[in-house]
Amino acid sequence: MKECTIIPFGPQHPVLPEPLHFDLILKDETIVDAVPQIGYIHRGLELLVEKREYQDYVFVAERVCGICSFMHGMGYCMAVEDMMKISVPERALWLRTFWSELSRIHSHLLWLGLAADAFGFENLFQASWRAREYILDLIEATTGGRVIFGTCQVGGVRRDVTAEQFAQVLSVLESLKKELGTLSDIFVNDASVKHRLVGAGKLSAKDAYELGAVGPMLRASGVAYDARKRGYAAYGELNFEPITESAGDCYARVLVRVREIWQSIDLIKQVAAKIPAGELFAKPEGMPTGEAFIRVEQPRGEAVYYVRGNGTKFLERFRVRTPTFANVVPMIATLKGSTLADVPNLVLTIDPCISCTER
Amino acid sequence: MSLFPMAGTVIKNLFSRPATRLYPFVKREPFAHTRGHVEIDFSQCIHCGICSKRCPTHAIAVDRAKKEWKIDHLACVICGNCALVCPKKCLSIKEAASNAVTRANKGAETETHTNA
Repeated sequence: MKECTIIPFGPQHPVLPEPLHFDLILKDETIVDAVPQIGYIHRGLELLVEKREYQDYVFVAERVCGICSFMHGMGYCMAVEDMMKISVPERALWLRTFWSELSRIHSHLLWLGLAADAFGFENLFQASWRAREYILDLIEATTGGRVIFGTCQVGGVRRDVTAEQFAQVLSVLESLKKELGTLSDIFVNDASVKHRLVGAGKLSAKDAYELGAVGPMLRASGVAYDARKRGYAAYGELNFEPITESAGDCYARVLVRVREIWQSIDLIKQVAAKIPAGELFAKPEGMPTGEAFIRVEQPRGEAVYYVRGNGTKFLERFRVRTPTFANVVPMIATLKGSTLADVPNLVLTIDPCISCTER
Repeated sequence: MSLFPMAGTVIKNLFSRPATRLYPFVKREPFAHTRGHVEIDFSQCIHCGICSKRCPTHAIAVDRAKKEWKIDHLACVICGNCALVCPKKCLSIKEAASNAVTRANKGAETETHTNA
């Protein structure tokens, strides 16, 4: 260790949207070890579950993260519904699936923009976010909020989406295809993008599995695991396969996310075609007791929700294991042996969301 | 090879109209049922205080004795729970965003209704 240099990376760094700190231990340009440190933006949202009624806490759960907001709310609702044995109406489940996929498209477009920014392609960053803006408009038109949907509640959903709105969503997605096609083409084929990403931060399938990688990070290493295949909400009735790549490098992670945008568009089409009519909400009866575990596939990977009730209207415990938390360990593994110049890309390709991780 | 598409984009951008709105003159209308701000029809309010109890951010304060209803717009996250639980349905969510709080209109962050 005598010849090593320690370089601090973060918590304030141009590529990081949120505070995350590393002590990078370098030998010349090569990283020997990285020591992560989190805890800059802890807000104590989990403890708040003891102070808010279980039906109202969904608004807090949604605000765990600004990007995967809907799925945090949905995960919480699913866990409470599982605990209270509420059978949610079919249409509500399909609407949840619909909003989840819209949220996945907007999250992936946001990430692609940030990734482009990390490797210095400002124009591509702006183009990705411009495309995302159309999705945000669709979200606002169908839910009433741009990034905080506020439509999930314990027992179902609060808003319906009309047939005209579905038609509007489909037509906007159709007209977006050209723009998304151009974007995908640049991410997949552009020489300067490939130059920065191909071969950087390789993670083998075995390492990814053993270190507990989740989401696109795991699938980019060739492990076909997607929590949506467990069939929660309406995913059991939709036709899709987890998207995998085999290379396990930064480029493969970009490819997985680009392809997942197209998959989500396809899933939204399936939902619009198959969604049944019916009730939106089943009123919960009694008070929550017992405990429940739920797994949800967020844009960033698998999130785990745990709730425990004690027979009052306040839950005793709520816990989230967020995808970023799971992905920090494999990220450290990819950092070791890579060069200092690749660090921003390696950190960005796990799609870090620190406010989720620290809640 | 890739120089030509780029040149095309440059020329197109030089002669096309701006992609953004000329904001103060052209405003974007909110979508129907967008959650903009909470509004109260105070004449219907019975001061039950349910909205205040169920507000996730405690932005609403109700004083039964004084017959007063107060909201802190900066604390309000416009989740719409108050409108949902209000027994008299005198609370509603309006589409327009609440007024900006500037030095000129100090006090716009709180809104108080009282019978006294």
